[in-house]
Parts: sequence; structure tokens; C-alpha cells
Amino acid sequence: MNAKRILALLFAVLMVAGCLAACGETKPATTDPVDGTQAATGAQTTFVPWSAEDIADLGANIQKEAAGNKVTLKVWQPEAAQDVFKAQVADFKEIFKDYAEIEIEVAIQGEGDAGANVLSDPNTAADVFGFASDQIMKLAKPGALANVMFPNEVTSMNTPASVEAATYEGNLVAYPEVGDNSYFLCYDKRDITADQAKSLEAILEACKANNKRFIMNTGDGYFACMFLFTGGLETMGLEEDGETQKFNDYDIDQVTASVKAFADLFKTYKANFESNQTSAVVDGFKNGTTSAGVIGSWDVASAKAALGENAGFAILPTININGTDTPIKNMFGYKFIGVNSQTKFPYTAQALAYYLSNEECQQERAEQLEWGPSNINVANSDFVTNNESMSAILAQATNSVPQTIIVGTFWDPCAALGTYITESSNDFSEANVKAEVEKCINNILDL
Amino acid sequence: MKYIDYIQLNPLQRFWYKFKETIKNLPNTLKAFFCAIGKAIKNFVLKIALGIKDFAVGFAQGDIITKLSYIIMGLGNVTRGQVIKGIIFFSLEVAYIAFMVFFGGAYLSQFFHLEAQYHYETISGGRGGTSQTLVYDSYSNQILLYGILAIMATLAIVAVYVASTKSARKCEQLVKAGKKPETFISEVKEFLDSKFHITLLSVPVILICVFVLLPLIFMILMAFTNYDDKNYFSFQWVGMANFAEIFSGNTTGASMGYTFGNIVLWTLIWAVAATFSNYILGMVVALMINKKGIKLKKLWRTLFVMTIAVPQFVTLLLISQMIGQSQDSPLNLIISMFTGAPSQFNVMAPLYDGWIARIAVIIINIWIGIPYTILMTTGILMNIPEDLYESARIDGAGPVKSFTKITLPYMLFVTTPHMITNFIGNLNNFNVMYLLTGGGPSMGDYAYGAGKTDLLITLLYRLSVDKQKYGLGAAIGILVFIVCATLSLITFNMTKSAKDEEAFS
Amino acid sequence: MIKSYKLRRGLANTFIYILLAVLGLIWIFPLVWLVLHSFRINPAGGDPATMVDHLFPHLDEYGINNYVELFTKTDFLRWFGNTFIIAVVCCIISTLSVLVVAYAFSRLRFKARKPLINVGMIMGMFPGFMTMIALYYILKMMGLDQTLLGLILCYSAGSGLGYLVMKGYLDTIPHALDEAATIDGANQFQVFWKIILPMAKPMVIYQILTSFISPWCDFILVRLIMQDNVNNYTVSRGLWMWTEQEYKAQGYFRFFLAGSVVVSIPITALFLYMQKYYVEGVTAGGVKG
Repeated sequence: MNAKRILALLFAVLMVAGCLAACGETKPATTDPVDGTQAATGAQTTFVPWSAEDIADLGANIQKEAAGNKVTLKVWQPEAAQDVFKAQVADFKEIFKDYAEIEIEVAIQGEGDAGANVLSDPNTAADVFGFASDQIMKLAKPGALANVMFPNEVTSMNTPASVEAATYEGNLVAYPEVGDNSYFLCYDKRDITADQAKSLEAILEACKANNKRFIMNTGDGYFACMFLFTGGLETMGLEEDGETQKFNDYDIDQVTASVKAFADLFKTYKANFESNQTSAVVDGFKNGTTSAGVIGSWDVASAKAALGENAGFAILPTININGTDTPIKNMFGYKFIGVNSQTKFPYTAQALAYYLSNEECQQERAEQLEWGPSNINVANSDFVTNNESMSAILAQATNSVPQTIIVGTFWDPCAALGTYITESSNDFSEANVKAEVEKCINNILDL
Repeated sequence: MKYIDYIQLNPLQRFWYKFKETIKNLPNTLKAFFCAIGKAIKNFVLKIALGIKDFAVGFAQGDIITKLSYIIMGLGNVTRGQVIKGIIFFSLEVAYIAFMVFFGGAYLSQFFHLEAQYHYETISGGRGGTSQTLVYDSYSNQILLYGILAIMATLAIVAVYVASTKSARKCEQLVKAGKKPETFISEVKEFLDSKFHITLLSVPVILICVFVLLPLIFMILMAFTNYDDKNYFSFQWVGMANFAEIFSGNTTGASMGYTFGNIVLWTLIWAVAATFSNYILGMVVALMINKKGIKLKKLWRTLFVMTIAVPQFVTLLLISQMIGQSQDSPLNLIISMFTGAPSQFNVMAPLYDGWIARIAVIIINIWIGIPYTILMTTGILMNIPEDLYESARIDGAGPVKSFTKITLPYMLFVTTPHMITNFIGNLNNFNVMYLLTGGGPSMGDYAYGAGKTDLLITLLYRLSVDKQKYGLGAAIGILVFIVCATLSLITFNMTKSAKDEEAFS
Repeated sequence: MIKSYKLRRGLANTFIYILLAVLGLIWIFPLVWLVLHSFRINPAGGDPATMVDHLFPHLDEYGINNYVELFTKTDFLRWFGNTFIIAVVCCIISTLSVLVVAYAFSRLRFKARKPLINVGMIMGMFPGFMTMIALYYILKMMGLDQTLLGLILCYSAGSGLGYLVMKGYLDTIPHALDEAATIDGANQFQVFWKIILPMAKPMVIYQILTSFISPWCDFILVRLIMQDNVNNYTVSRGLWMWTEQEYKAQGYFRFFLAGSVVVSIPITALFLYMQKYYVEGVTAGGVKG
């Protein structure tokens, strides 16, 4: 009995000692208290993108479609945007309340998987859904997307690049929703100056000086393709067989040099470099362990919440390849709102998609969610041009490969290449790197 | 070897002997198995032929009412006093016809080409002008599924039909002989006694048919189609193309054949390593806890068993977060506590052909599996006669020797079947691999982004859920089945319990 | 001689105590980490980071905020309720069907017995994963996709195939018992209900235990069946969702930790309480000479 008690005590002491040992190396949390809540939606007036005549006309069609019943629609948008979309959807219902009873559910679905989920079961999928531009071909080919009902307006209102990305075989198949689905540099202004943020070498050097980290996600093809693109490789849609990825006329040695430059740099600064998800960058800002990182446009709001006024945003820096400072080139995409071709209420769905992608809604989302606009007027608005993060990412668009038609086999080989170059124990000899690059490109092409 | 020799062997030798014999007999066992299947099929065909003969004879000899009830099911029963039974037969016939006319028939007719049906719809109005849309009337997977359903329904109705004709014939004969056909009540009563098995099994069997057999047939057939991310809505029969891809190897890129071969190899290595490491180490811990003179036995056991009690996905997700490559991951924090410098140890490092991750999952699996072994073996370990150890100690054997010479052989002998089930469970250990590593690290030499720790079962999931290669995934599923079925077959032949029950005779 | 033997044993025991303590620490560490971090808040306000640079939270970082918000701000309670309903219904259906099938195969003799046993065994060897996609379409055909009932059917409909362990147990109950009862005029149903069922109590409890726990642990099937219907998720699906990148970025990882603790408490308690039956069930299934 006694021994039992002693042992239990011993065990308890051990556990407590373990806790205390860990607590011993206390570092004060450096995160500034920042109010994470968004500016309240406030009293907003319902915006109507249509004239009274149009509404009567559209309303009549919606009424016809409803045929006396309730119109039920489902919208898919990611978790972070739920509140904004719920409010916008309510406004839409308000406009047509005299014509039909409309019920719209906003459900959670990230843009990355939306396409696959629509395709696996179009009948239970959302009628109107947000998706990333790389899924256009996959969705449009079997006819899962309804053609846009207002092609002229959409074309005139949105940036030509976004409209082009939303076009498949001559038809406009989706409504541009976001003009900057991409990633760029975010840094802590206390650690890194705007000047340092221009070159990757300087950033890593600053991280080393501060004993902090630079984080980017090299294990994901979406980010890792930048190593190839910086070396001059570009995707150019499809080959004639309609299945294989087509590339530009790239120089394999230059691509290798680019990949090798990244690999060597990460190896040199391996103590201050970390490959992790973009959420880890934001976490690092919160914990005060990270000076800079590559984040997605969708992370801007949380990065601002973590860093407050110290948040700095810039286009991706340059990297020194064989003596020349080369700007890093990334993949630049869009987000679209698609209308499910199997929807029971195509007319209402089209009107809703149009409404959600119009100028005012994009403006609202730019202000509340930091989603960069595809709408020309919003892109030129004071809010966007004065916004550091949005102007930075729109500037990034000038040095990037448009994410239009990307085959499904693109991502995994890129991710494997990214994982390869961030493993510092690898021997990055010219020949080894070249072999990896060739393997990666072959894998993209072969399957 | 004669029986007298056999019983003189020690347990380990007996096990080894049994094992050798099983392997030696494997060709015969397999042959016997397939012969048995062949015989079953032959019997089945014979039975059907007999049935058809009966059926024809019954029709020829029956009177007009019996003849009519070959068309209108249940007529014979109704006119001869078995009203309720007759009505049941008739309503089943009506239900089947309605099902085929309004639903099943259309799908059955498309079953052989599978192609989806669609039309174009145009909507116009407002400022926007027109929008033309492709609207699907039926999808290939619907056709496949409903087609199978229609075939199953047809088989079922044929069985009912045969039963109804037999019943009509029996009624006629009974009436002719001046007897009364059985009443409905007395027939129902039989279901509680001589036909009790039907009462018991009907509901489970129907449920299994709908929720296991039907989907199984669906997926097996899917392996012969090109249902994948390029043919979502409309796909066709492609014969053995998916199997051909699995065994194909092209030279430049990552080929499926290469991937499959390596993943099979790793799956086997993993299953052996995971099973034996858990088994032996778990037993060592159990022995330590149960050693004479060790106090607080219950506390120690609970400490380990706690980890089983927490839902597995929680612990696995937790550990996968804890071994992340970040400097902030608990694993790296612990390492840096010992080394004093920030640690960047990466379990998923793409080095040494992924062996870091492979060894890591085996170690983590020990963490998961040992408590199970402790739970299971404690009771059996207590049963080993103490005097065995006592005499070993007198002979000068240390703890290691008495473990390898006494405990292990004894336990192996007693728990072999359990180990083999464990082995098969580990072959298909989806949770551990999927939640811990997600199959990674992917080093670019496998097809479809498969990684170095991918098992066959996670490959199956990756292909059919993540990559939407449903056809290819189903083909892999069939291969997994063949592997598991062969192993199970060996197991059942090795263990006496199965032989006693004549599971496969 | 005797003294040195005692000494040696004492030494050995000390060594074993140390080893057990170290191992126990390793085994319990992740759970301790889970519990402690589930209480971690951000003392400066705002959401706490997913991971921090210290192994255990600092003293000023403890708070019950995560738990409060887990119950007030998320769907957790609803998922918990869903899972509970599913678990209870599944456990009734599964236990009954396993019992019934095992009883029929063990006690009754009929023509189709052996073929059915063989077919059942073969069907059980197919990886369950293969059928998942088809299950979704079947439920859809019945209009049961994305519903709790549909999920219940998926979990429990095939459970009859798990008859093997139960049948093995029933086989060990002497036939003389039911024969005596039959002579006394009991029909098959009464034999089943009055004699076999009470005898098989430990196995029945094992069956109830496992079929009650399994819905709490599945996350794959529920993902396919429920799709985007968050209201009908089970806890495991919900917790899994919170570890996805998108949710992590929104600071949901703390809810994963807190939710895991909340789920684990009842399951752990139940398991520890019923341990005996679990051991009996597992050993009855696999251990034979």
C-alpha cells in the first residue's frame, strides 16, 4: 500500500517536473493585442445592379421558373466568407421578393474541392458555387457548368485576363469573382525593411539576424511550381490531344539553375527556413517566431489580425540565379462563381451568380474579406489602390503564369520537387537537380 | 510424420511443422478450393436444370387454373383456399412489373453501353440574352447501379415465381387428393419453428444484399469501366484496361506498374513489422507488469489501456500534428530540450527512399498497438504454468532465455490465429497510414502522387476518392481482395478451429 | 546465495519500475499534451496560435475559453447529439443482427447454411472501402443521402457479416441445453430467447460495446455520405474538418483539441468500465489452440 502511494507520488512529481521544465524557458509572447473582428457590416443599403425594367423582366422569368413553388438554391463558399455571402444573398432575395419565394442556403465548401464535389454528384451539389480557376477545364468539359447568361456585361465589367480564364472553347462558362487567387510575400515590418523584402537573400539574412523564420509551403505543387516558373518554364494550356499539359519553349538548363538556386539558398539558411502550410506563417507571426513568409491572398485578413500595423506585403522577392537577381514568378489564378448546369432553377441561379459577382458585392468582399476584385471598377477604386496587400498582389500578376488550364497531373510532381529541394541533406549538384527537374516534367507530361 | 511424433514436439516446433505443411499443401488447398467452387457451380447448374424440368412438367400436368397461375402468380393459391399467400404472390408480380416498366427497364436496356443521356436546354430573357446548357437525363453510374438493381430484382422475382408455381401445383394436388391446403396461420407458425432460420436470417440477408452485395457488385463491375476524372458523367466498358494499367510499366515517367509493385512490397513489410513488433514488445511489457513483486499492476495497465480507449482518430490526428516538421512541433521541442539547439527533424523527409517515415510509422504503431497486446495477452500469460519458469531458472536460464524458450513458443502456439487476423488487419490498416502520413513522403517516382508509406488500401483510397480514378481504384480493390482472401484461406487451413467447423469443405 | 538472489530480484524490480515509469510517461504524454493544450488561450486576446514554441502552455495561458466557445460558437454539441443517436441505434441493430445470424449458423441446421457461411466469409474479405462510393449512390436512390438514417444503415446493415466471433462463442455452449429445452416443449424462438441469449451475455456486451464505439471513430464514410451537410456531421467528421488547412487558418485547431477531450471522456470511461468484456470478446474471437 505504502509503495503504491510513493510510486503515485513519484509519478505525479515527474509529470509536474516535466511541465515545469518546459515552462522554464519562458519567452514573453510578442504578439500585439489586435482586434481580430472585422468591421461590422453595419447598415448597408441593398444594391441593385439592374434597372427597374430589368428586374421586372428577370422577375417575370424567375416567377415562371418557380411556377408557384418555392425556389431553393444552394451556394458553396468557404468557411471564412460565410457571413458576407449570407448577407449578400439576403439582399438578392430582397430584390425579387415580389416575384417568387426564394430560399438560399449558403453551405461551407472550400474553392479547392468544389469542382470535384460538383462532378461526383451534380444533383446534390450547390447550384451556385465558388471555385478556383484551375478547375475550369475539368468542369466545363463534361458540361457541368452552365454558360453565363449575361456574357456581354460580364466581359465588359471584368478584367480581360479573368474573363479569358473563365472562357472554355469560346463560351464564357463562369462569373469572375476574385481577381487575385495567388500568393505573395508577407513580412513583419519590425524585422524586415521594405528594401530587404525585395530580395530573398536579404530576407533570409534578416531572419538569421533576428533568429526568426521564413516560412513557405514547398510541399504543395501550387507553391512549388514557382521554382520552375522562375527559371522560365510556363504552362500554355493543352497539347492537341486535349489531355497533356503544353509548355512553352523553355530552356532546361535555366530551369535547373533556378531550382538549384532555391535549393542552395534554403540549404544555406536551413536553420531559418521552414516549409509549412500558410496558416503556419500566420501562427508564426502570432507567436513572434516568424519574420516573413509566403501567404495566400485568402490569408491576408488573418495575417493583418496577427501583425496589425506591422504587416508588410510585397510581391515575391528576387532570387540570385548565377549572379542575376531574377524576380520570382508564381502561378496566378482567379476565383469564379459557377452555375451548376443541372440546377433545377437555372434562371434564378444565373441571376444570383451575376449578382454575387457584380461590382458592389466585389467591393464589399474586398473591404471585409480582403478578396481582390476581378471587376475593373473595383480594382481601380481608392480602397483597392490604397490597400497595400491588394495592390501588392495585383502587382504580382504582372510577373506570373496565369493559372488557366492545368492538367490534374501537374501538382503532385511539383510538390515532390518542392519537397526534394527543401531537404537540406540532399546533395544539390547540378546533375542531381537536373535529374529531379527532368523527372518532375516527365511526370507532369506522362500520365 | 506420425501423430506420436507430432505430440512430442514442443509448441514452437509444432507451429513450424504446421506452417511448413500448410505451405507445402498450398497448391493442393487452392486446387481443392477451386474444385469446391467448381463443384458448387456444377451442382447449381444441375439444380436449375432439374428445376426447369419440374417447372415444365408441372405446367404440362396441371389443370387450367394451375396453367393460368404460371402467368398470374398466386391464382392457384387464391382459388384453392390460400387467399393471403396468393395475394402476396400476386402483389409481388405486380410490383416487379411496375418497377421494370417505370424504372428498372429503361436502365437495364442502357446497361450494355452505359453512356449517359443528355439534352440541351436554352434559357433566355432579361438583358443577358441566351444561355445554352447541357442537361443530363441519366448518368453512367446511375445506369450501372440501377441496372444491377434491376438484374437482382429479376433474379429475386424468378425465385418467387418458381416458388409460386410449385405452390400452385401443390395446392392442386392436395385438393385433388381431397385434402385442404395449409392455412396461412399454420404456415406462419412454421416460421417460428422448422423454418426459424428464415425468420432470423431474412432481415440481415436483405440488408446485406442491399448495403454490401449490391455496392460490391457495383464496384467490381466498375473495375471494368473507364470511370475516372475524365469521364465523370459518361463512361463505358473497357474490359481489362484498368488491370493492364496496374501491371504496365513505361520507361520515362512514374508508371503504375512500378508504383504498384513497390507498394505491395512495402505493404507486406509493414504488415510483418507492425504485427511482430506489437506482439513481442507488447508481451514484454505485459510480462513486466505481471511480474511477481511488481506493485500497482492496475495502474500500469490502465496507463497503457487509456490510449486505446481514446478514439483512435483523435490520437492519430494528434500525433500527426505532433510530429510535424515545424520547429514548434512537440517532437522537435522535445529533441531541442535534449540537444539545447532548435531542432528541425522532419519525419517526412524525402530521404533514404522514405525509410525515415516508414520506420516512424512502425514506431508510432507500436505506441498504438502495444496496449492491445497487453490487454489480450495478460490473461493467457497468467496461464503459463509457473513451474516451467521455475525449472528453467534452476537450469540457469536468464529472463531473456526463458522468454524465448518458454513464453514466446507458448504464446505463439495459443495466439497464432489472432496474430494472423492482426496481420490481415495490418495489411489494410488505413487509419494509421492515412492520418499519420497521408501516404507521404512522395518522392516523385510513384504514379498519382503516391508516397513511400502508402499501403494498398491507402492507394485505393487515393485513387478512388482523391484522384477520382474510380475504375482503377476498383481494380486495385479486387487485387487487395485476392491477396487477403488467399491469406485468409491459408489461415483457415492452418488453424484447427476452422477445420473443425469445415468452413470450406 | 538466497540473499544475492533477493538482491538481484530487487534490482530487477527497480529496473522494471523505472522502465515502466518511462514507458508510461511516453504513452500518456500525447494525452497530457492534448488536455493541457486544450486549455491554452492567447493571454493577449484573439485566437491562440495552432502551435506554440513551448512544449506545455505557460501559466498565464490557461483558460476555459476554448471549451466555452466550443459549446456556444460551434456545431459541436449538435454533432455530439448526432453521434450519440447514431451510436445507440447502430448498436441495437448491429447487436441484434449479429446475434441472429450467429445463432442461426451455430444452432440451426438448414440446407443453405454452409453456402451462406462461405459467401459471408468471402464478402467480408473485400476491403470495405471499395463499396463506399456505391453506398452513397444507393442511399441517394432511396433519398437517404446526407441523413442520419442513411448513415445508420451504412454502419449497421452489413454488421450481420461480423457473425464469426459470436458464432464461435455460441458453438461452445453445449447443445444438450437446448435439446433439453426442446424436449420440454420449447420452440426454437424460446430456446434462443430464454437459454442462449442469457448464456452469451459477455459476448453480447462486447458486441454492444464495439458497435457503440465505432460510429464515434469513423470519419471516412461519414465524409462521403454527409458531403456538405454540416448539420448532420458526427463528432469525428467535425473534428477532422477542423484540422484541415482552411479551418486551421481560422483558428479552429483549439476546438479540435477541446472537442477531442470532450469526446474522449465518455468513450474512455465506457471502455475502462467494460474492459473485461472487451478482453473476453477479443480473445474469444482469435485465440484457439
